[in-house]
Amino acid sequence: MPEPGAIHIIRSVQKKWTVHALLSYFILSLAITLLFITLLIKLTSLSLWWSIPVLTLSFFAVFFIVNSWKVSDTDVTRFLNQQYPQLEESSGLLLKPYNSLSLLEKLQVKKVEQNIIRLPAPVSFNKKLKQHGLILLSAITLSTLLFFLPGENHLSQMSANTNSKATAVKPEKILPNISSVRVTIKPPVYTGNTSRTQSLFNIKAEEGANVSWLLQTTVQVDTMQLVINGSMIVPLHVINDDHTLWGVEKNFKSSGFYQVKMDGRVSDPYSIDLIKDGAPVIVIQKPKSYTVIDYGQPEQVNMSVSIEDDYGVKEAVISATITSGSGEGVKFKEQQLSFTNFSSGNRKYNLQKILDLPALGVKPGGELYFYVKSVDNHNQENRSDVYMVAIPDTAQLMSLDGLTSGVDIKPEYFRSQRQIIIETEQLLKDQKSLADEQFKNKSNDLGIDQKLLRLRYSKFLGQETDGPAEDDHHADHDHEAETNAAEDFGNAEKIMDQVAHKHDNAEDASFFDLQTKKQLTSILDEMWNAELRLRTFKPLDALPFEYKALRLLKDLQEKGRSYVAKASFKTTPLKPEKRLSGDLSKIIEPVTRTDFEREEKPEDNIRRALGVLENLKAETVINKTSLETLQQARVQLNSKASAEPSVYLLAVGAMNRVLEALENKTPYSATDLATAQKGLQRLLNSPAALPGPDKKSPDQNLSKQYFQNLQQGNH
Amino acid sequence: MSTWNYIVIVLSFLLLVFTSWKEWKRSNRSRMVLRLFASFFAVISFACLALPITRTVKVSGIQEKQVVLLTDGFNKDSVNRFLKENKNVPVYVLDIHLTTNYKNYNVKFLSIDDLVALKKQLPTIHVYGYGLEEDELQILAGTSIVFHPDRVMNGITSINWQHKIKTGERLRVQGNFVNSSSSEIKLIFSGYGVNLDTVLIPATKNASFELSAVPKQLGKAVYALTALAGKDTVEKDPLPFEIEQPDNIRVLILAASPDFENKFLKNWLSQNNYPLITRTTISKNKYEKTFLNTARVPFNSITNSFLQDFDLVIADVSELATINRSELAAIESQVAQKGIGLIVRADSASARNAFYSRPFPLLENSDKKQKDLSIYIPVSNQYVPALTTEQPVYIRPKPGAKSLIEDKQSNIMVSSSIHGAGRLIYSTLNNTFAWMLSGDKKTYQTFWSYLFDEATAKTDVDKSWSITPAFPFANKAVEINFASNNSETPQVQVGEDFVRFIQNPDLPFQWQGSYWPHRSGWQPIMMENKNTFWWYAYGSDDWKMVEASKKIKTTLQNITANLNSQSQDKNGIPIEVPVSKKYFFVLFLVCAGFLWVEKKL
Repeated sequence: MPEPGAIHIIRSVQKKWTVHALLSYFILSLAITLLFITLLIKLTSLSLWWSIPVLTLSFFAVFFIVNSWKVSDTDVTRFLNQQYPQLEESSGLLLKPYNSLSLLEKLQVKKVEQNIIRLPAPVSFNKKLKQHGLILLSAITLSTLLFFLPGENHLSQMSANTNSKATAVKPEKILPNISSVRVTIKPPVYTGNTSRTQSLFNIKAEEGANVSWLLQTTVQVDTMQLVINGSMIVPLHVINDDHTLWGVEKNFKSSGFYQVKMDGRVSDPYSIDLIKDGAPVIVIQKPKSYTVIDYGQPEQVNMSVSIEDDYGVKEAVISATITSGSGEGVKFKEQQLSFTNFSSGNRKYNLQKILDLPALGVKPGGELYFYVKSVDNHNQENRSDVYMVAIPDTAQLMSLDGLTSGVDIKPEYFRSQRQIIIETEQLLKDQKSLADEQFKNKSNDLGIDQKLLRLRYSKFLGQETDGPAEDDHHADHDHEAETNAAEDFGNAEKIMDQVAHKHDNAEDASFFDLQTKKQLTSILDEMWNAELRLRTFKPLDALPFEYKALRLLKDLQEKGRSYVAKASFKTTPLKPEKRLSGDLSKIIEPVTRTDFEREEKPEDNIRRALGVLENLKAETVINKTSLETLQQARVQLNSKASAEPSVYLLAVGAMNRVLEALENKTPYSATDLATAQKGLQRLLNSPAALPGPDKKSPDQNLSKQYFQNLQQGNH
Repeated sequence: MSTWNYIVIVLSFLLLVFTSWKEWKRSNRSRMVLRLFASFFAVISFACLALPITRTVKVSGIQEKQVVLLTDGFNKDSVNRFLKENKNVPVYVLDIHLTTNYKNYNVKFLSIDDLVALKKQLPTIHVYGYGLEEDELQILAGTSIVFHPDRVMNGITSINWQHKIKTGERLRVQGNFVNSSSSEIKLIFSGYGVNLDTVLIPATKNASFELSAVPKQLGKAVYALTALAGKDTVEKDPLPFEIEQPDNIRVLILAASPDFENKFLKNWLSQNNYPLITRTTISKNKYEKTFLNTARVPFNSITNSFLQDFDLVIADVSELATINRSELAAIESQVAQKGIGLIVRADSASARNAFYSRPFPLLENSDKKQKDLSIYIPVSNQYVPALTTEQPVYIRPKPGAKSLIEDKQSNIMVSSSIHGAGRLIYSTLNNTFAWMLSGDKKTYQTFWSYLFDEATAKTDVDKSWSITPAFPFANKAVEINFASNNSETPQVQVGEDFVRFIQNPDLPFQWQGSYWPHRSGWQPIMMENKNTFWWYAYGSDDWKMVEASKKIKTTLQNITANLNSQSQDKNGIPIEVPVSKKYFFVLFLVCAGFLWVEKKL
C-alpha cells in the first residue's frame, strides 16, 4: 500500500498548481481589461463602471480558451518526474491501485514513497505568474501612455461637466429698508404656464406676462416707485395703513431693467428678461422644392411636414395653387387643404399628406404650387417656402412650334425622337389587332430606329460604343493598360500614353461645352433605356423613357436658341479735316471741390467717455463738455442695457452712481469707475487705423541746421 | 595663444621627432634610453625658453574693516553664512523696513549722513540683495564694495510698450520674464478687466514675450499685465498709456490716368477729413483736378512753393516719367530738403535712373501667372487676406532700402528708402482696393496707414515733455524734462505743486525740473492753468522685478567702473606671474651637456 503521505503531497502540489494557474489567468484578464477600458475611455465617453463586466467577460474568455488550469494527477506526477531525478520517473506508480502493480513496480513504489516525502519542500509555479505579471505591467504602462496621449480626454471632460453645473446665483443688492419682496409672475394664458412667485428682484418671464410686486419695508415710506429702463416711472400703491406694504402690477412687452425708488433713494438696476414666443417653425421634409412627375410615374406626391412651436400650434393648413393652361390663357385656382391627422394644441407635430394631383385638378402641363401655413396659440402665423410640383405636357412636347423659327441646329434628330414616340403609341393602339409575331417585329424595328438615333447623337459626343452611354470618358486609360503587350516593350510613345492624360483628343474637341455634353449623355441614357424596352417587346414600358428623352432634348434645343436680333446702327460721319490735328483746345479741364464733414459716430462718444472716466481717477473736477460726454454715454449704455440687461446692468448702476456723485460734487468710488469703463468698452469695436505724422520734440531748428550743414559739407 | 606660440610648439615638436629618430638610428645603443630622455628634456626646455610660461599666484588682500549692507531682496542664508565666517561684522540697512526682516542680528539703520560718515572709515562694504540706487552709489564712490547679488529672481525683469499711440494703432508690450519657479506661468494682458492677450512662460525658463491688442478708448487708460501661476497671482502691474487722434496729413495725388486705386484712396482719405488734392492727366497738359477738404488753389504746374503745403505726394511712375523736368525737380528738392514723403506706385512705365526708382530695382519675374499674394503687414502682426494679382512684380533688396511689405516667400512688394530729409516708398501693389471691394475695410486701412506713417516725416510741436526715469515711482525723485522753441521760463504745476525749471546751459530749448510725486497714479502737468501733459507714477508694489534687475545692473556697472571694488570674495585674487627663464636655461644646459659628454666617453 502506498503511504497516504505520498498521495497527499501529490494532491497538495496539484492544488497549489491550480491556484497559481487561476491567479495568473486573473492577472492576464486584468491586463486585457485595463487596455480595453483605456481605449474605450479614450475614444468614447464611457464610465469606469464598464470595467467590471469587461473584466468578468475577459476572465471567463481566458478561462475557457486556455483551459489549462485543470490540473490532473498525471500532470502533477509528470511534472514531479521532470523536476526531481530521485523519483526515477516513477511517481506515476503511486497513483495506480497498489494491488494491480507487479512485484517490481511495488518495490519501486516503496522506494519512490520514501523519496517523495523527503523531497525539498515547496515546488514553485511562479514562471507563468511572472510572465503574466510582466504582461500586466506592460499593459499598465501602455494604458498610462494612451491616457496621457494628446486628444480629448472624456473622463476629465465628464468631471468638468459635473463641476460646471454648480454655479451659484449671485446675491442681489437691495435697498436697506426693504425687508422682503414678493414678485408674482403671471404668464399669458396661451402659454399654459401657471403663475409663480419669487423673492428676487431680477425677473425672467414670458413675453406679455403680468408682473406684480409686493414690497415690505421696515420703516414707514412716503413714496415708492419703479423706474423702468431709466426713464418710465410706475408708482407703487400703499396697501396697509402703516405705509410699509407697497404693491403694483405691470404688464411687460419687452426686456429691460428697472430700479426701485424709495423716498428718493434709487436701488441698483434689476433685470427684466423676457422670453419671446417665436412663430411656429415649419420644416417640409418631403417633397423636394421642385418635383417633376414624368410620364408613367404615379401622379401623386407624398408630403411630410414637421411643425414646432414654443407653447402650442393652433392651426396647420396647406395652401395650394393650381395652374392650368399656358401663356396668356393661364388660369389659377386656389385651394386650402387640411391635414387629416392634425388636432390643435400640441407643441410638436409630424404630419403626412398625400397630394393626389388629378383629384386636385392638375392636368398635364399644369403645375401645383403649395406652402404650409401654421398659426400658434398666440396667433402668430408662419408659412413655409413655396414648393412646386409639375406634370409636363406630353402634347406640348410634340409641337413643332419652337422648331420652325429657323435658328435650330438639331431638328433632324429631334423630329426622329418624336416620330418614335408617335409610332410607339400607334403600335400600342394597334396591339390588339396585330398578330403577336408582327407586334414583336414592329417593336424590334422601333428599337433599331431608336438605336440609330442614339448612335447619331453619340457621334456628337465622340462615343460610338454600343452599350449604355457611360458618363466616364476616362475609361480609355484602363483599356490601354490592359493591352500592354510584350512587343510594346521599349515603345516610348506607348509608355507616355499610359502616364500622360491626353486632353486634346480629336474626339473630345466637339463644339459643345461641358454642360451640353452632360445633358446629351443623359439623353443617350434615356434612349438606351427606351431601346432596351422596345427590343424586349415592351413598348408600354419604353414610352416613359422616350418621353423623358424628348423632354431633355427639347430643353437642350431651347437652350441653344439664343440669338441677338439684328439692329440697324448708323455711325456719325467722320470729319477728315479734324482727325489727327492735335487740337486740344476744346477739351476742358474739370475742377471739383468737396468738403466732407467728419461724421460723428456714436462710438466716438463712448471712446471719449472712457478717457473721461480715466481722468476722473486722477482729478475730481470735470468740465462741462466732459460731463456732457458722460451723460450721452449713459444714454447709450441705457439703451443697450434695455436690450441685454444681463450684460450691461452692472455698468448702468455704476455709471449712474458716478454721474450722481459728479452732479452732487460728492466722492465716487474707483470700483464704480472701473465697472462703468468695463461696460462701456463692451459697446465698442477696435477702431480702424488712421495715418498721422509722428511728433518731434522742439529743438529750435538745431537738427535741421545740422542736416543742412552736413549736406553743404558733402558738396 | 598667439601664432608665435604655435610656431614654437610645432618647430620644437619636429625637432624632438628628428632628435629621437637620430638617437634610435645611432649604432651605439648602450645609453639610448638616457640619451632619449636627455634630448627630450633639452628640446622641451629649449621650447620653454621661447614660450611665455606663467603661473597663477593668489595674492591675499590686506585685512580691513568690513561691514554688511542689506538691501531689498537679500538672501538670509547667504548673509548668515558670511556672518558665521566673519565674526563681529556690523550689519546695516538703508531702508528702515528691512530691519523687521532680519531680527536675529543687530541690524542698524543708516541715514545718508551716517553713510557719509561710514565711508570715511574706508571699510569694505558687502552689499546683499538687489543693490543700491544710483545716488547712494555716488555717495559711496571710492569705497570698496563687494556685491553679492541675489541670483534667484522671479518675475518680469524688463518691459517696454508705447506710452502714446494713435487711434487704431496696436499696443505692443514686449518684455522678459524670468520664471525660476517649477510651475508654468500665464501672462495675461488685460484692459478694463477684459483679457486681450495671453502668453505662457514655461517652468524654470527665462523667456521674452510679446503681447498686443488694439485698444478702444480715446485718451488715457491703464491696462494691466498679470502673471498667474495656476490660480495664484505672482504679480500684477499697471500699463498706463494714452491714445491720441492722429493729426491730419496733407496729401497730393498725381496720376497719369484715372484708376480705381486712386479713387479708393481718395474716398478713404476724404471721408476721414484729410485735406487732399488730386491731379489726373486727361490729355497732354490737360488735367482733372479735385480739391477735397481744402480750399481751391489755382495751380498749373507743380512748384516748390505749391508743394510746401503738403506732407505726402502719391504718384505713379507713368506720371513721374512724363511730367516736365522742373516739376520733377521741385518734387525731388522738396523730398530731399523739406522731408515730404513720396509714395511711388509702379506701373508699366519704367524710369530706372530717376531718383525715385533708383533704390528699388525690380525683379524680372518670369512667372506670368495670376497669383494670390498673402501679404504680411508688420503693424497688424499677421498675414492679411490674399490679394489676387496678375503677374506680381517684386523689388530686389538693396542696401539702404528697407522692406515694408513682404509675402510668405519673403518677396518684397513695398520698400522704402531715405532720400535727403524725406522718405521714398515704392509699391508694386496696384489693386489694394480689392480689399475694400471684398468688404475688408480694416486690412485696407491698416495697409495704407502703415505706408503713410512710414512715408511722412515727423512734425514739429512747440512743446514736449518727458519724465526720467522711465519708471517714475511715487515718493521718489522724478526729473521732468521740457523742451520748447519758446525761450521763456516755463511756469509749471504738477497738481497743486509748483515745479521750478532750470535751463540747460548748452541746449537753450531744454528745461529740467525735479519733483517728488506723493501718490501713485496719473499726474497732471499744468502750464498756464491748462493740462498739457499726463504721466503716471507707479506705486511701490509695481514692477518690482524690473526695478530690482535695474538696481542690480547699476550696482554692478558702478562696481566695475570703480577699480577699488571687487565683486569677488576677499580670500585672494589669482594673478598670473611669468615663470623665470633661468630654470629652463639650466635644464637645457644640463641636458645638452650630458649629450655632449656622453659622446666623448
